[in-house]
Amino acid sequence: MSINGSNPTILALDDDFDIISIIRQLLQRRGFNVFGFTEPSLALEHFKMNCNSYDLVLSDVRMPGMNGFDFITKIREINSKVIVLLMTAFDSTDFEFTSALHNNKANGFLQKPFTERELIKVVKTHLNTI
Amino acid sequence: MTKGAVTTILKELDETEYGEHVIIIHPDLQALRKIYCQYTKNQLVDNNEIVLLLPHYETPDAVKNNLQESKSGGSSSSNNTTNDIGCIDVQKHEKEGSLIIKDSIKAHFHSDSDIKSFIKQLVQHAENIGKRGVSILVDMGSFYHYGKIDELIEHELSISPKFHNIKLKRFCIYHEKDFDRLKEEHKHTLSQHHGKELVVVKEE
Repeated sequence: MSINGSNPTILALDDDFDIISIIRQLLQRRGFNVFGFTEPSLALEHFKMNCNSYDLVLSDVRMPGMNGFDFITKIREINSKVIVLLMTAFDSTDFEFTSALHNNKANGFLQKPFTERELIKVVKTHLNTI
Repeated sequence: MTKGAVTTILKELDETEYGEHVIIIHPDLQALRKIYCQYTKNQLVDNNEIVLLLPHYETPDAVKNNLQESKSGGSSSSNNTTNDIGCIDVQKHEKEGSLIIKDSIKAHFHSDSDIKSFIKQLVQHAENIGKRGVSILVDMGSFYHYGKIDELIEHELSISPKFHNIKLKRFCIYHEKDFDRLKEEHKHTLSQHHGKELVVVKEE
C-alpha cells in the first residue's frame, strides 16, 4: 500500500523513451501507478507539484541536461523521505555510485539490462511490499 | 554553421577533410545513432580509416550492438537513407584495430594514458598499417557528468581548430540540452573555435 493508502506511485525517469515505456508497462501490470519521463527538468517540475503523492523515484544516471545524481539530490531536497533508486547500464561499482549510497542520496541500484523479475523485486523490496 | 536533418549532416561529414576539428550538436540519441552508424561504416569500409568512438550516453556494448545491427534508430517509413546501411562486422574491425570504442568518461577521466597522446599514437599507427587516417567521434557529455565545464572549455581550446599535416578528423559531439547549459560566451567560444559547426535538426 502507498503512503496515500492506494497502490504505490512511482516516478520513472530515463532519457531513452523505449526503456521508460517498458518500465511503465511492467510496473503498471503489477498494479503500480507509474509516471514516466524522459526529461529530468520535466520530471522535477512534476515532482515538485506532486511530491507527497510519490512513494518511489527510479532514475537513470547518464542523461543529457541533468545527470541522475544531480536529479536525485534535487528530489531529496523536495522530499527527503521518498525512496530513490538509480539504474544504470554502466559500472555501478564506481566511486560515485557507492558515494551516492553512503550519502543516502540513493536507497539502491538497479543494473541494466534487468529482467522483469529483477525490476519488480527491487521495487517491492524497497517499498516493503513483498 | 550548417543546420539540417541527419542526411544533410552526414553529407557534411563525408565532405570533411583531414585536419578538421568539427562540433556536432544533436537533438537526441536517435539522430546520433544514425550519424555514427552511417559515418563509421563509410570510414571503415569505403575509406579504409581507423575510427575511434567515445560514447557517453550509451555503453560501448550498446554502440557495438547498434553498429552490428545497423540500428539507425529511424522508422522504416521515415525519409532518409540511413535505415538500411548494412551491418558492420564489429568484431572483425575491432580485431584488426580499425574500430575502437571506449566509454568517454573512462577515456577522459579514468585512464592511465592521456587521451591526446593516445590519439597521436593512433594517427601514427594508422599510417604504419596503411590506413588513410583516423576519425574520432567523441561525446563531450562526460565533462557535464562531472560538472567540469571550465575543464571542458579548456580541453576544447587546447585542441587546435585545424590540424596541419595530420590525418585526423575530430568530431566533438554535444547533446543540445548539454550545449544549451553553457554560458553564451562559452557557446560562442566553442562555435568559433571549431572549424566547422553542424547542428542536427530533429526529425518528426
